[in-house]
Amino acid sequence: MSHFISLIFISFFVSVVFGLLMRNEPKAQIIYGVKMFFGLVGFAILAGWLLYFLPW
Amino acid sequence: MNSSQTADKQQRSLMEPGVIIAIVLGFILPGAGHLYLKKLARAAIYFVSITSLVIAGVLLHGTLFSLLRMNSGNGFLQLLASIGNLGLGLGHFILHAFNLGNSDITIRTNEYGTTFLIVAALLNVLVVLNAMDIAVGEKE
Repeated sequence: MSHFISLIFISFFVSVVFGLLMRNEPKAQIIYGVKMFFGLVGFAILAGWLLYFLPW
Repeated sequence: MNSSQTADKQQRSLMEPGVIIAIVLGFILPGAGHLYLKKLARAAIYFVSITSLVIAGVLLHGTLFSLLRMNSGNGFLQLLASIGNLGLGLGHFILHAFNLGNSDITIRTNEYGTTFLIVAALLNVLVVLNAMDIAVGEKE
């Protein structure tokens, strides 16, 4: 399992669970889950790129 | 009704058998608390999500920090990880009994696996708390 697949895997399931936990309506749950998924993946990639420029 | 009466009512309802059963079932099997509360779809999704993370964690040779193992007494962070992993409930002890999650930290995927296991355990705690809220009547 590559780094990126691992990231997708854990982000997906965490987003699904949090979507169901944090919202009550099905539509709101999906929106919350999708936002959280892309937030987790996007922030991880962004943090990875920022760390790339660190010299040590 | 003042706040003390409200708190007293809340305390009483927390002690009802149905609430306790939902909590205990949630720690026996992920999503079982919701199954008991007749939330079938949520129970299935919680079960699949948390179980998938646990299986992936084991397959990635993650370390299951446990108070039952010597590796948990080596530091404060490991103690916290051990307490967090207890959130898996019965699953924690099953993994321990089959000596799963006792991997070598030099394996490349060990950190990922360990993270998967801890995240699954903490998610299960949140799911059990959600089942408790539903059983009490605070959530639907």
